[in-house]
This record gives sequence, structure tokens and C-alpha cells, in this order.
Amino acid sequence: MDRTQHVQEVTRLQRPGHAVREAHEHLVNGSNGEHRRDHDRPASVRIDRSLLKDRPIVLPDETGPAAHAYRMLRTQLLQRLRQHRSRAIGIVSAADREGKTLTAVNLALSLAVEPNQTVLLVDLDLHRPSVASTLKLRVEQGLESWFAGRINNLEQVTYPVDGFERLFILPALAGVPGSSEALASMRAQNMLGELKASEPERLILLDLPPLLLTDDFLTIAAHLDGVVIVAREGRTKREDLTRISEILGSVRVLGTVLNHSTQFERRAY
Amino acid sequence: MLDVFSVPMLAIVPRIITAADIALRRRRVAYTVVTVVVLGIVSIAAIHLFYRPLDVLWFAAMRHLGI
Repeated sequence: MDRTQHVQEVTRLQRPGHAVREAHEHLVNGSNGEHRRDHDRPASVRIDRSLLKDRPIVLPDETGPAAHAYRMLRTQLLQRLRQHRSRAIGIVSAADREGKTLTAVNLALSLAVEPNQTVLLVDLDLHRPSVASTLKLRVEQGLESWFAGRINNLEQVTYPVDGFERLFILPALAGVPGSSEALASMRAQNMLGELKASEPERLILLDLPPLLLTDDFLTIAAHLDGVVIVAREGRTKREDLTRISEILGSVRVLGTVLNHSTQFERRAY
Repeated sequence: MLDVFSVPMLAIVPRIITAADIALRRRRVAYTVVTVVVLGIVSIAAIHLFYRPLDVLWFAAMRHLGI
């Protein structure tokens, strides 16, 4: 290697996001060095800003009260995660339409711009998966294909996101029949374990189904390091929160998020 | 939530108004205005047809006001 090549190599290694890409390559190719075929590697997906005008998606470069709220959420959550050394975080709510997917998506976008923080957003609401539709992602298959046995390598449906070097999305495009049993299967339990083990520095955000409406949460609770509870002002009932506190049992609650609020910080700085 | 979970509230997220929300609000305002105008016209027509003709009412009102 001559000096020019050496300088080019050093420059390449120092480029931001290099470690993330290398880690992803490692994931795609497998830890045993076995190289999978190139077509196993999914193309990156694009978050098209123009398509999201009718969606309450807050991109990291936005300003305003909602953007401020998600930055606060990101920073406070990161502090707690580092304190407890947590990596697999479930985003849960008591019932549907309380904003858990929206919180998961906006939180993942916000976390992905944090330096040295890789994020994997997993749509584990196998009853009504909606991460891909919320972001209007154009992908052909997701977790449902893995559960149906059409693919074996989860990395085939783990999509890197254009413009977000540290964000990966594992979507589900359709519901999985018998999701609770599917999640309880040895294959799924191993998959969840491998997701956590594959990249120790990566934060995994799991969009989970409503706690009071399915039992899916209970089948994967052992893999979670903590949960964030999402409630919606004027919709979430107090008795529902009491009931989910019983369901959560010993799972660590990292914090709560109040959505759709009319009492937010209006002061600008 | 604080008293149920004894954990901090990490964020209070305001309602996010999207372009679709604004369009919906505009549609609702337009429907309300159209409904009010139509109801007004129907009410006036009903008075004219079923109670007393509007010109008679007009002159009665003028006389009442002493004009």
C-alpha cells in the first residue's frame, strides 16, 4: 500500500458512520465470517419528507414544541439507559390510538442523530404493524415474511435508512396470525436474543402492541431491559394505567410520555 | 401517570398539527359556513311560504317602527 492509498484508507476509516456501516456489514455477513449473497442485503429505504406532510412525524432538523419534546425525551431516555445499561426498550401503551408507534418512530429518528448511537426500530406490533406505513416506507417484505418462513435471515428485512447512518428499521408489513404463539416460539425467542447480542452498542426500540389488548408483551417481556409508557391526554384512562402497571410486573419502567397534550412548554428559547 | 408508576415523565408532546389537519379544519369551517347559509335561506323561505310573505312582514315592521 503506497502512501496515497494509506491516506485514503485512514480517511475512509475516520469518516462518520464508518463504525456503523462496518457493524451492519458484520451483521449482514454473519459473525462467523460467512459471506451471504449480495441480494440478501436489503436496499436502504428513504424517508420522503414530501410524503409525510399529513403525518405527525418530527424529523430531527425540525424546530417547534414537538421537536423540543422529542429531544427532551431522547436525552432523558439516554441518560436512564446509560444509568441502567439498558438496550432493548419496549414502547407500550394501554390501548390503541394512544401514540406509541408515533412515539417510537419519532424517538428513533431523534436518537439516530445522536453521535455514537446506533438505533434499530423493530415493529413488533404483529397485530397491526404500522411503522412502515407511518413513515410511508417503500419496502417489499418485513417481519411477517420471517415469521412465515419465507426468509431465514432477519438482515434481509433490516433496512438502513438513507440520510440516517445510524438508523435501521425492521418493519412488519402485515399482521402475523397467532402472533402471541409466534413470538413465544423458540425461533422468535432466539431471534430476540440474537438481536440484542448482535451489536452490543445498538439501542433497540420495539414498537409493541397495546398491553391491555393482547398478550404478546408477556411472551417477550424477558428480553426487554425496560419500557416507556405512552399515554394520550384525554384518551388514556387512569384505571387502564393501573391495570398495565400490574401487567408490567417486574419489567423496569424507564419513564412515561404524555402525547397529544395541550399543556406543553410554549416558551421559546 | 406519576402517581401510578412513580417514574418521571420523560416528555409532554403537544398535539402535532399536520397539513392534513389544517386541510380538515378548513373543510369543517367551510361546511359549517355553507350549512349556516343554507339553513338561513331555508328558514327565510319557510317564513315566506308558511307564515307570512316577506313583503307583508317588511311593511309591518316599517309601520311598527313608524317609518
